[in-house]
Amino acid sequence: MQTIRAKPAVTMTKHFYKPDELENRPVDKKFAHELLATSVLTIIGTAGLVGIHHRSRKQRHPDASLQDYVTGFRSQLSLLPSALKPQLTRLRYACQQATRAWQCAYDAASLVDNDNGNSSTNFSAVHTTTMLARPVCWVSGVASMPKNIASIKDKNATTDAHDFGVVGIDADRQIVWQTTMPERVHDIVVQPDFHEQSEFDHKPQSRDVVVMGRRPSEKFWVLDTQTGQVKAAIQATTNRHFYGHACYSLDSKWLYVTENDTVHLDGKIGVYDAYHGYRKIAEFDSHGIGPHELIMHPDGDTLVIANGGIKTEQASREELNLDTMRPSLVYLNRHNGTLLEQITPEHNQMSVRHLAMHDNGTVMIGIQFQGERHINVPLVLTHKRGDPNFSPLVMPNNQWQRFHQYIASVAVDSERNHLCVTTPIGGCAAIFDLTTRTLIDVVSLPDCAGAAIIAGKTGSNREKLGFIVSDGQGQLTTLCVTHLSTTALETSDNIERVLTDSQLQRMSFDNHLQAL
Amino acid sequence: MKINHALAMALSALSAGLLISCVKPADESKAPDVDSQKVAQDSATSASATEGAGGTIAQITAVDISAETEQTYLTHVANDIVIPAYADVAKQSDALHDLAQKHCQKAPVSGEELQALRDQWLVLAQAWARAEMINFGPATASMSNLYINYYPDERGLVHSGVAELIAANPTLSPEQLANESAIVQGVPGLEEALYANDSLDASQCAYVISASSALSTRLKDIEKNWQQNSTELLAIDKTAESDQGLNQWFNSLLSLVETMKSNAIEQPLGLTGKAKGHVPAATAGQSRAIINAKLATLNTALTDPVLTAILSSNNENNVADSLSTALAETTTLLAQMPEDLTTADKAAQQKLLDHLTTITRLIKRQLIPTLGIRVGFNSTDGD
Repeated sequence: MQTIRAKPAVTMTKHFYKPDELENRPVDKKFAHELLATSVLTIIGTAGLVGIHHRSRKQRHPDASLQDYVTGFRSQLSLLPSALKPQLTRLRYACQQATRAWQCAYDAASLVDNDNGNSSTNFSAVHTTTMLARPVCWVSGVASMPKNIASIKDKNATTDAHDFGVVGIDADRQIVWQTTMPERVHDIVVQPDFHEQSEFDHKPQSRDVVVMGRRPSEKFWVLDTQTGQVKAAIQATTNRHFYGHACYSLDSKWLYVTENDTVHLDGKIGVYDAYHGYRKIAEFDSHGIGPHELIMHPDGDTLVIANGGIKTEQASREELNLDTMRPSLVYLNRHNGTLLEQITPEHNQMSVRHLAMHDNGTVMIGIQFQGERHINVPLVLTHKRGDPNFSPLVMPNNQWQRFHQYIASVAVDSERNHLCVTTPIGGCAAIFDLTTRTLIDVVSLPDCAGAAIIAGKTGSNREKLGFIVSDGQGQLTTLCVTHLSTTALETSDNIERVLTDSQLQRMSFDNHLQAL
Repeated sequence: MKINHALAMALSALSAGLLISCVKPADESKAPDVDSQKVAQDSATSASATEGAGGTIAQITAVDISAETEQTYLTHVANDIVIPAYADVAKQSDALHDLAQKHCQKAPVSGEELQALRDQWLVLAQAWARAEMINFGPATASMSNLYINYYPDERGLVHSGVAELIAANPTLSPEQLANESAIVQGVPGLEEALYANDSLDASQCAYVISASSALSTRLKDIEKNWQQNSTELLAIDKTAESDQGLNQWFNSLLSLVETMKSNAIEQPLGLTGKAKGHVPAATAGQSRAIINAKLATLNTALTDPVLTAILSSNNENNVADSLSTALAETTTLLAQMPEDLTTADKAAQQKLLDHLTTITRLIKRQLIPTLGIRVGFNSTDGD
């Protein structure tokens, strides 16, 4: 272990400036000698480091062999000529991953050396992560996940609906990493990339991604965004379970989580310190029952909470109060939990469930209607602080039943002022123009649920801007709003339509998809 | 330390880092049946992951379906299963309408004439029960299926709604009815009018004539839509790039079994908790006939010769055989139960539920994996 400690680097610096050592020998002979020595030492050093890594890897994967290094290197090498530019980007990430992997090997070795029964948890015992060296653009929960990335394209690979996990997805909509999860998950929350910090801050080097267990889970997990490695598993406190959603403060220091008080069945917001092991440090009242999604207001000080209004008990999903439910949208001071504003929808069974935040501070709201099926209520609303009521968007002929009373996700593109909503029961995704508040187009996407903006401009998506939608049948579909040609306009009332492009993966994407 | 030592260290770290970052995942070389997911799951979940419906451990190999074969099969589904199903229910609605016009010339209608109307209603209700296997497309878009079959009606809205509508509109026309709420239309509305009364007066007759006419119009629109758009609706022209049509069709069949199991048996009979809702055709006391129609249509779709040929291409006949056996056993059990399933003993009700669970598992764990597609879950179990 001592061979990879950093201390000798200091000594190396001292020797670098001894000119007399260079002058006393013939240059070419000296160079040849140095070259040989360096080469030999490099080979030994490489073998040593790979050996250490292999040792730690072997503990997790008994079938691992040294041949895997050569095979993996060859396969990466073979990809270079076919797509040089993206591969160069990936090579950069490969170097980052290499550094991280080296650190992991070092840490793993240190753990072995210092194994005195300390509190460090070996997450590899309960989660298996496989990864490729590519940048991640989106993360999603999945079911029916193949055992490893290599078998994603294998049609014969065995999967089961209960093979739950989380995946990182690159700009080309390929799976970069996948990590198994012991239960079905719901929202995946990405830590903001916040740079303004003092040298005394304890901000971690890499961004976290928090994976929320599905309601009424009592756990969430913290993963590394780029590698998918599980860093921590957080258990709900006594008499609490999670509701499946969370959000970070804009400075990335605090994580706010929707929780249920399983004694009084009141909604709570748990506050967790993201820089200190996600310790729960405070709790606020959500001022409603069944808080579901919550998001940060761009002012940085206000939490926006969707109180679904549905009462459920511990370890249960059974709705107890559908007739008397009182959903609401709540604005809360994130520092002290003071209630700033609370708005209720026109019908008490319009469960306020999913939210997205426009850069201008307008909240996008997806409703799930819990009333009789023949009642037609608006399912996509907006609200801005100070407005007395919600404002519904406009559906042609008021046909909200197109969405089968269920909106699964909302995603907003502030730049283009577009909103994407998904409905798996309606089997479609829709895009609204927020300027005119009207529907642009609806596209058929069976079992679709996750929605996010196309954040990256790399890979084959670099020319595309819009949304990406995931579905339970394994498709990742891009939705791009396009202006119709003059010819096409003659046969259509709309001047815009949505073009789709799907990529199939051998897994079922769960409810939510988040952009990094 | 010399410069070559430092350089060697740097180069070692770089080359080792590159090798480590590129390393092939260790479990790639494992046999497919080795579970690398060391996840503690409960026993039920573990069982579901490894056991087939019959409790035997099955290794599923997906059949290789070419784009042409898939296109042929989906075209067959559209032309020989879907469109005829809608055509039949429209035909039965027309037949009820004609019969109502005939018998209602002399109101009140009772006795044999009323019974003839009830018998035709049952034929119509069974035809719709068969068409409900198509859980996508124009019949479900914008929840228009609610106007054909508002089920389950947990609050008894149909009963009061139809009575109030008839009282307020004694000469109701089909056009007037088409603009009314979904709760007073379609198969349940007709059931209410025909079975909740011992005889039909003139206003009730007008309702039956209008409701069957409005229903026929709706059903013919759906049939026409399928005839014109089946290629798009079943993604028949996209088989080269995706399995969307195949996914949609088999998830729709799965949805039929799951919905029937949950809404028509498990919940109304209170088999796993507090009773909720009602069995289908509860007012008519004909729940068995409706379940039987659904099972028959499943049998037709799942033992279809074209599908069987696809499954046989990979010697996966056992999937088709297992499904056929399970469906036959369930049909036999159902035949031994009373017309009104609520009057059956609990053991028989539970056995029926168990049989449907077996069929669900066979579709989920054997048929769908064999076809190389996935079980959708967001639409049935979201949050």
